[in-house]
Amino acid sequence: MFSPLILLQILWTSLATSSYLVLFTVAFALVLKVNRIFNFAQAATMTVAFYAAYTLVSRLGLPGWAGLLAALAAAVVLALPLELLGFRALRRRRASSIFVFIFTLIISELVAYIAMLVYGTWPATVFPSLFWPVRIVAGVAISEWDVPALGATVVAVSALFLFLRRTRIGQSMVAVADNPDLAEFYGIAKDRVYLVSMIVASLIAGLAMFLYGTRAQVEPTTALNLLLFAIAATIIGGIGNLGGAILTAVVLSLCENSSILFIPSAWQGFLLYAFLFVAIVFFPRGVRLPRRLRLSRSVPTPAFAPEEPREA
Amino acid sequence: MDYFYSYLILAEIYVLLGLSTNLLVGVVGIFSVSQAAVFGVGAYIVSDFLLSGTLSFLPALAVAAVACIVLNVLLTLPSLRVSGDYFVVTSFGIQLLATAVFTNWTGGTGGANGLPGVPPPDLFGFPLEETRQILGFTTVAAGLGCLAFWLAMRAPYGRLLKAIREDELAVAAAGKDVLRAKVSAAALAGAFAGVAGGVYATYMSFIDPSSFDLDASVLLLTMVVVGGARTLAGSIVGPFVLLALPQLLQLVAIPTTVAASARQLLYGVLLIAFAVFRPQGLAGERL
Amino acid sequence: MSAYLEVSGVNQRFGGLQALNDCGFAIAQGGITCMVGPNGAGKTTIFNVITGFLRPDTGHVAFRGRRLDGLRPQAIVAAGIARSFQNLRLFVDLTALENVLIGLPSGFGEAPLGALFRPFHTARLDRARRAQAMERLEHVGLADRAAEKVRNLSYGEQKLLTVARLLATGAELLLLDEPASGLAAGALDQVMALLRRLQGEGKTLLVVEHNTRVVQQIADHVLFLHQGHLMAEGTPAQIIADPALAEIYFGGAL
Repeated sequence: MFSPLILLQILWTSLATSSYLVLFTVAFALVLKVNRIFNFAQAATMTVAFYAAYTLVSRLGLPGWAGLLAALAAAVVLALPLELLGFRALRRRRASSIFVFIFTLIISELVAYIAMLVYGTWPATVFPSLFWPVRIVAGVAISEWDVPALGATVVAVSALFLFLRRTRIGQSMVAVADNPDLAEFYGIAKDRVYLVSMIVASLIAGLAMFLYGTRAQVEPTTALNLLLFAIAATIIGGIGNLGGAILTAVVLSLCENSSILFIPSAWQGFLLYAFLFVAIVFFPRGVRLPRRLRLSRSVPTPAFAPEEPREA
Repeated sequence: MDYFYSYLILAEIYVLLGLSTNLLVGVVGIFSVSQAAVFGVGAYIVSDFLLSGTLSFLPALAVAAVACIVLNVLLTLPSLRVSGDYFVVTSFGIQLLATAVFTNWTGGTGGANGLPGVPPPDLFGFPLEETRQILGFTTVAAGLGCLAFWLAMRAPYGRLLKAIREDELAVAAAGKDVLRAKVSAAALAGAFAGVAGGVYATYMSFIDPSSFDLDASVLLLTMVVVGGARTLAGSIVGPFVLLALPQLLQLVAIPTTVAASARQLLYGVLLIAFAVFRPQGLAGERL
Repeated sequence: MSAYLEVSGVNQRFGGLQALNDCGFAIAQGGITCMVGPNGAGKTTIFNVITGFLRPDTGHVAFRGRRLDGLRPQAIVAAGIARSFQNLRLFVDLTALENVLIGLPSGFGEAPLGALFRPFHTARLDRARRAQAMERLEHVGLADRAAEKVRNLSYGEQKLLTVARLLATGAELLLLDEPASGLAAGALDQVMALLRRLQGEGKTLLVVEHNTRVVQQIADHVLFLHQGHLMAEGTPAQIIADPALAEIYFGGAL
C-alpha cells in the first residue's frame, strides 16, 4: 500500500491539485495583506467566474479560451462594485471588523443563492466532460490537464510577483500593505491601491476557478468550501508573506491528498476544519503580534500625539 | 391564537440567546460568530438525556448549562491571544466545525436527519404539554435572564466588562484582572445559550443541524445589532422584531425551496444596513 | 540601603531594534523624577517593563526592595505602582466618574456571582465607591463633569481625568507618560500644580516629559535616556546646562 510508486503518484496529484489551491490562496492572501480584509466574498467571485465559463462553454458550446476570458471578466465585474460600493463605504464609516466579515459572507451567500435560482443545485462543469487523457510517465499517471494547469499557475504567480516588484502601482500595493498611514503620507492614493488589489486578486481567483471547474464538479456552495482551504493556508503561512502562503498551500494539498492513506473517507471532510482550527489556535503569532508587543510603536510619533482615531 | 403563542415562545427563547450574544459581543466586545453552536450543544444534550430517559428535564437543563459554560469558555479563550478580525475568523472556523460535527455524528445528534420526538419540558414531574403552559415557563425563564442581565450590567461587573471592550490594556493598567472578567462573561453567556438550547429542543420536539449553523449565528448577531448593543431593551426588541419578519415575508410569494435562503439573506442585509445607517440599533448603542 | 524603585540591567529587543540597552537607574521616595530623552530613547518601553506590560529579555525591577520580575500588570498595581498612557486610553463611552471607578481597587460586585445573587449588597457598596471616586474627581477639579461621557470632555479635562483614574488605584508610585503634552498654557499650569500637590501628599512621581520648561519647574531629579540607556542624571539645571546632552536632544531639530 505504501509502495514508492503510490507515494510518487500522490505527490504528483497533490502538486497538480495545488495549482488552483495556490491561486485561491494567493488571491485571498493578497487582499488580506493589502486591503486588510478577510475577503469571504472571494467565494462569490469564484462562483461568478465559474458560472460565466460554464454558460459560455458548456451551455453555448464556445471554445475553452472564451470560457476563460468570460471567467476573468466576470470576476473583475464583480470586484468593482464590491470595492467601490461595499468596502469603501464600510471603510468610510469605520465599520467594525465583524460587520466587514459578515458583509463579505453575505455577498457570498447572495451570489450562491442567485446561482441556485438560475442554475439549480446540480453539480456542473466547464467542459461537458471531466475526462482528460492520461499518459503514464515513469509509472505515474499524468493527465493532460495537469501540465497546462501547473503552467498557468506558475505564469500567474510569476506575473503577480513581477507586477508587485516592477510596476509603480504594484510597489504602491506593497507600501500600503506595510504601512497604510505612512504610504498615504508619501502621497499614495490608498483607494486606488485597494481597487487595483481587488481587481488583481479577482483575476487570480477567476483563473483558479476556471482551472477547478475543468477538473471537478461545482455547485453553488462549492466555492465557500474551497475558500476555507485558502484561509487556512494564508493563516498558517503567515499573513505578511505571500511566498509562505504559497508554500503552505502546496504542503496542505499534499496533506489532504495523502490523508486517504490514513484517515477513513467519512472523516475526510473534517481535515479542512482541522487545518483551519490548528492554524488559528496555534499559529496566530504568525498572523499578528500579541498585544503586549504592540504597545510600542515602530513609527516615530510627534511629541504632540493627538488622540488616535478609534473604532467604536 | 396558538400561532401567536408559538411566536411569543420562540421570541422569548431567542431573548435568552440575544442576551447571551449581547453580553459576549456587545458588552465585552468578543466578536463571536459561533454562539449558535453553543446553543446547539445545549439543545442536543437535553434532547439526548430526555430521549434516553436518563435524566428529567430540569437536571438535564442544568447539565446542559454547565456543559455550555465550559464550552463557551474554551471557545472564547483564543480571543485572549488573537484580537479583532482574527478572532472573527477563529470563531467562524469553530462554527463550521460544530456544524460538521452536528451533521456527521449520527450517534449523538441524529445527523442531518435530526432528532425527532423530544419529549415536552416538565417541572418536577408535571409535563408542560399545552402551549400556554410552555409560554408561562419561557416567560419566567426569559424574565429571569433579563433580570440577571440587568443586575450584571448595573453592578461594577458590568462597568468592568464595558471598560474591557473599550480598552483592555487600560483596564489591566488600572489593576484589574481582565482574564477573569472575560472568562466569567463567556461562562455567563454560555449558561444562557445552554438553557435556551434545552428549552428550544423540548418546545420544538424536533431539532436538526440547520437550527444551529452559521446562519443561525448571524441571525443572533443581527438581533443584537437591530435591537441595539449593550442594553436590556435592545436584547428584547431584537428577537421580537426579527422573528416577526418571516411572517411578513410569507405574504410575498416565494417558492418554499428557496424561502429559507431568502430569509437568511434578508437578515444579513438588515444587519449590514443597520451597521451602516443605524449602528445604535432600535434601542441600544453602537456595537 | 536599597532604593525605592530600582531598575537594573534591562535589555529589550524588538526584532532588530535594541529598545533598551543595559538600562538601569534608581529613584528615591517622595520626589518628582523626570525622564527625558529624544524620541525612541526607550522611555515608554521602560514604563512598560516596570508596569509588567513587557517582560524584558534580561534585567530586573525592584520596588521597596522586592523583585517585580514576571508579575502581571494587576499584581504590580497591587504592589503600589500605577501608570498612565501617553495616548490617555480613557474609556470614552463611559462617564468620567465611571472611569475613576474602574481605577479603584477591586471590590464586591465586580465578579458576576456577587453581582447577581447579592444585588442589594452590591448596590450599597457601589454607592460608597461612587463617593470615593467622586473625591478623586474633586481632587483634580473635575467634580462638576462627573456624569459627562469622556468623549465630550476637552483634551485638558481628559488629561486630568487620567490622573484621577491613576490616583484611584491607591498606588504610591505614579508613572506618568507625558502628562503635559499638547496642553495650552492654562491647562499646563493646572497639571503642574496638580503634580506638585500629589508630591506634597506623599506620592512619588516618575514623569516622562519633553517640555523643558515643565521639567525645570517640577523635577527634583532628571534621568536622561539615550538609545535605551541611562546616559546622565542630575538636577534639571545640570542636565540642561550640559551641551553634549542638548546636542543629542535637539541635534536633529536644530
